[in-house]
Amino acid sequence: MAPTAPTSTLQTPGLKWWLTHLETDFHHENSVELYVGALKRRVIRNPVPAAVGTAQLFLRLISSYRFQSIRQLVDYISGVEERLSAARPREMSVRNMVRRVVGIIREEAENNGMGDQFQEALRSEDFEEALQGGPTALKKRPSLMTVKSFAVAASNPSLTNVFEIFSHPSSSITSSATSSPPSTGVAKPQSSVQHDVRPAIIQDIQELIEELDSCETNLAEYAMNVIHRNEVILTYGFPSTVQRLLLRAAQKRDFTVVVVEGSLNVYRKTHNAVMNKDTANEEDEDAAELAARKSLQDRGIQVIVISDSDVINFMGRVNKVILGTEYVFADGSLLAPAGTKNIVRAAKARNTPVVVLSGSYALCPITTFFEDQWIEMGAPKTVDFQEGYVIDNVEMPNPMVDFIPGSYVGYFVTNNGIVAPNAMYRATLDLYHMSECDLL
Amino acid sequence: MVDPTPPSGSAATPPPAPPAPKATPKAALKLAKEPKAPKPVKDQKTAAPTAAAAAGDGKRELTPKELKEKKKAEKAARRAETKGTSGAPPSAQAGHKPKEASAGNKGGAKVTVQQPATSSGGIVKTIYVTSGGSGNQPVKTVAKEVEVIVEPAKDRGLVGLLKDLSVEQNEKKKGPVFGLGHAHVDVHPAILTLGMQINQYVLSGSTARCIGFLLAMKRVIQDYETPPASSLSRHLPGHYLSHQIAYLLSARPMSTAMGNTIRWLKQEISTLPPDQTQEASKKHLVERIENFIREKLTVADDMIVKTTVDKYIRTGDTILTYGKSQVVERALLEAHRQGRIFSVIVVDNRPLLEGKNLLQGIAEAGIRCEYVHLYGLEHSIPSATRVLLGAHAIMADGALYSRSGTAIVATTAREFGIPVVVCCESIKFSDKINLDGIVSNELGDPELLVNMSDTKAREMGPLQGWKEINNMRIESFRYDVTPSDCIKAVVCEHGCVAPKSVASVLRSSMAAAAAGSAA
Repeated sequence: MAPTAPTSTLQTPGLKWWLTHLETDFHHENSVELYVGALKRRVIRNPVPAAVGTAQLFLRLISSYRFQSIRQLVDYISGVEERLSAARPREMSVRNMVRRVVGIIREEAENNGMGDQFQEALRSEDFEEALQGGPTALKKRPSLMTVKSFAVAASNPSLTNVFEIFSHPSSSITSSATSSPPSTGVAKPQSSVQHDVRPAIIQDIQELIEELDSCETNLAEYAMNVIHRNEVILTYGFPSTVQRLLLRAAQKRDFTVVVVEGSLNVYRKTHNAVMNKDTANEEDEDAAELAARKSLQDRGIQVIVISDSDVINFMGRVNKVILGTEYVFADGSLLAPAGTKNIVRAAKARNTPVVVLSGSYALCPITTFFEDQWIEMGAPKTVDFQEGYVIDNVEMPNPMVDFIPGSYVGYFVTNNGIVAPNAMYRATLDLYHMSECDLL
Repeated sequence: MVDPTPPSGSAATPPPAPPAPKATPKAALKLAKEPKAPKPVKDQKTAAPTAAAAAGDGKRELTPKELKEKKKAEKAARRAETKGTSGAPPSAQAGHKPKEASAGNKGGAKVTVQQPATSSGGIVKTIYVTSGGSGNQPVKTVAKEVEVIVEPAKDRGLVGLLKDLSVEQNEKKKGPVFGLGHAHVDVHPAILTLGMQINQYVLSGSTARCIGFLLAMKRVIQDYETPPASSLSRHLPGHYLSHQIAYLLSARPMSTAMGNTIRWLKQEISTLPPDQTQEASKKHLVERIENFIREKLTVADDMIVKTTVDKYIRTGDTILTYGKSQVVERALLEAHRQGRIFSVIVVDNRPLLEGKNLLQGIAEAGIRCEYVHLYGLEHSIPSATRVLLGAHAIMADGALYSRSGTAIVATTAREFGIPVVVCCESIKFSDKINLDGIVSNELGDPELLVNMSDTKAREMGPLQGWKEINNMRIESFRYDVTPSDCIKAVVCEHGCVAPKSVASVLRSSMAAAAAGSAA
């Protein structure tokens, strides 16, 4: 289409750019720096690209990093993680990926009989923190894979003040990188640790990346369990996960889709997706791929586009609400694009079941306490700049996400299976091989 | 009122007269018709020749138009039956109606569907069966008929309903097509203008339309001349007014306020003393209309604004409102003028963006504002202390019928424990109940959703060309239904009432109006 043409020529760096960079000129220090910048500038944003980007980065980092012990490796990774998370605390898939990587290291360490080393690595990290003591330690983010929950509970959530974290020079990275690793209780010759463990770790991370790539396809496998004949499905926006699921269901089932166009942040994208138009300027490459397919309409599925305001009118005739999500917390609550709360509330009033699709990258081993801290605000969109005289006197908040408690959700569809909100805790912890959640 | 259809249509009770050769229930049904044939004697005389003619040439192949007509006739028949004394189950009737028609189609039993004649009071409808097709041919024809009647499976669910709605409203099956060329010759120029303004949403608010209607009616009545050999109280409402109203209806579906007004006006005309001269009657009516505008609309608004400001807008409040309501805007400005310090959260949404209009007005007056769309409601509503809403109508069960999106605001406010107050003139109180947000709602223009620009200039977005795509619809409704338990109070000119007691207010105010006209 004519209006999108000029923007598509303007190539903004996105995930593709980042992957090419990793492919061609990766550098163990510069690339981390570059990635921090990319996260900060929202060049890489949204859960999936951030997850893929992070996993790829760690794949390279681990294959190039020389370590003598498991502990050193874990220290190094958590140091990098700290910098990445500080760059973009609300993009939790970054952190989730690091957790997965650490989980992989642990698994491999245990497989090679170095489980105690791993445990020790964690403990010493805590120890280090405790040594620092005082307010600095309290301000620090909870460390990964913490063993003692009270230490986590005491630590202040960093989300509210990104810059404070950043002002503390990340000591752990420098210390772990420069200082010689403590060799307490390491019986094996150090070079052999790297030799034993690294190939396995790298292979596991590659599997993780494959899992990420096939995530949406795996989710779509559940289409037949979720959508049945003659149902009326309502969805908010038209996220690619939902789109894929519906397309899959359309191969066998006949149903009707009501697409709510969504907030000002997404409605253009929704319209594009509904019309099966290629959005070349969007950062997710999925759109192009999906656009190449046959649309729902062509497959004989009735699609009705409505505005947010008509949700209650339609809800009485809807059988099921299927939603995409940004992040899911271990207590079953979730973050979804702003406006979703209106949908789930209307659904609850009518007792319409709500199904949430979520890739495993979005499962955060965190239980929430302060809901507001998750709400990210965007630039004002409700009033154009032509109407400047209004802007002076008026506040125009533009929330990007809604926090939705788990009680609104019927069940989650993840690529590891269908999970009830109350079972989300267990499912998440199993995913990360953790014994308990962080409380934020 | 002629009721031609059999009282017992069910196959379980076969009619005694003809021996049924075919044991199938369908055949039995078919036969059940035959003893009925001579029954509507009155109509036989008039309808039989035309019946033969129509069956002879017209009914062979069913054009879509004919099909539509037939359906219409069937519907009218069904309605007539349910009105009639016989309590035959409607399902059975619905079942055998097409078969009758099919028999006529085949050439056996001839069936004439006489168009419902509405003019002479009540719907008269005859389905007439001439000449005995003895019951041995229908089975085949039934099958044929069924395949004509059955819609494609796709159109059965939600989409079918929506299609029906849009046919009903946009293609104006009921009324004449809107447009100056389609207006009846009797339609007054003032009404023509008003119709155009309403159709183009120049006058879009319920109150504005109502005032416009009354002012136009004033001119209509002033210009009205009773034809010779007729009296004003008979000719004016029955013949003359109905053309005006039909024209306005074709411009846009009637609002509750206008419906109430028309009812009032007709009552006024009917209670005119018959011995009064035409000039005196006209003068009286014009006076009454002026009074009505003052009482029910102008002063009513003033009263509502006063009550709202006195009771519900205090210093320190944060008032949340949705879209734009004239009364709410006036109340906010008045409270600001009185020196109360409060802030306003204007919630708005695509496609109409009426809230922006309100925002400009009150922001320029110096009220502190926040402007969000519905998706930001969750974020903004915790700071609100009160929700003030306008209304299109309030239903007899206390439900609020207002701009689409209001229900979201009201239900959210209830969840947050924020009281919702509705400002509504009692002329908008309806005696109907609306349970559903889709049926009996008014369809908006779907192109509004295609438009991506939030300013006057239209910018066609990615949805452009959606009409060419099969299986694709864009829907936008103008109103939605907010259940009464989300509403704390309704402010009308009589004071504050609970939403559930709206019906009784309506009754007493109607009684008062009737008393006023009698006096």
